[in-house]
Amino acid sequence: VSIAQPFDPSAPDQQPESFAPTSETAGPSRLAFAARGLLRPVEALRAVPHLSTYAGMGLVIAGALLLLFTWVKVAGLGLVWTQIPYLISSGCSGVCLVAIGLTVISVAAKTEDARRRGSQMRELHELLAELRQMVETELHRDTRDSA
Amino acid sequence: VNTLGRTSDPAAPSLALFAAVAASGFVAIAVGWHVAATTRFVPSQIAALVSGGLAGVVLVLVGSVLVSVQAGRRSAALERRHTDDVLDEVGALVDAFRTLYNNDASDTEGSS
Repeated sequence: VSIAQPFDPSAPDQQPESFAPTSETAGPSRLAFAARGLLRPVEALRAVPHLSTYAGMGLVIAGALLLLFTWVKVAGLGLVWTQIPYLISSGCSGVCLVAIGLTVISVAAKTEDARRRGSQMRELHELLAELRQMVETELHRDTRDSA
Repeated sequence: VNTLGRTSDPAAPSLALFAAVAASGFVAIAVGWHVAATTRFVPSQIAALVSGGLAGVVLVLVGSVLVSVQAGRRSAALERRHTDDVLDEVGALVDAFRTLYNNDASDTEGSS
């Protein structure tokens, strides 16, 4: 199996056993085997529905918790020079985590919408191809009858 | 196709670059925090807050927005590809109907 082929876990010729290193292809096969081992958990995670949305929500919550932590620490200190490091480290990081979380949610929603629209377009394409095939069959029948 | 066996994505390099911009924002925040935590002189801390903290936040925001925009463009490109496939199929279908119509018209003229 070439390492350039996309991984298909259902394909019998792409099972992990077929990637055992041999004397001729020890280097690439070992690389592919390692890559396959790394990709397997990623594939399992990608199978979870709406995982990106949940991850984005988690980042937003983590950022909000960091901002809350910043407020608690800063409110308990009376000296400005002790407050500023908290403001920079956890305050700014909290804002950044919230922004990244919102971005992840936005990208996940856009990707999901595009996937659904693509599925609809593929279905429309298949229906049109079926209709064209019917018309061409009728055309061939007419041509044969007229001959 | 890359060596890891995944289909290559033309948007991947730019997405990685924008993610690196966002990650550099966290580095800037860490540097700003380090500078502010090692001095008790408030004017120096304010400078670290602005140059490290605020600049880091801006870098993260810029990187995030660019990632979002690029992901939207990638989705739009995929949709355009699907739309082109459908338009090609519609064109072929119209050609088939036109040929069928012309044959029917010539048959009618021949019989009359």
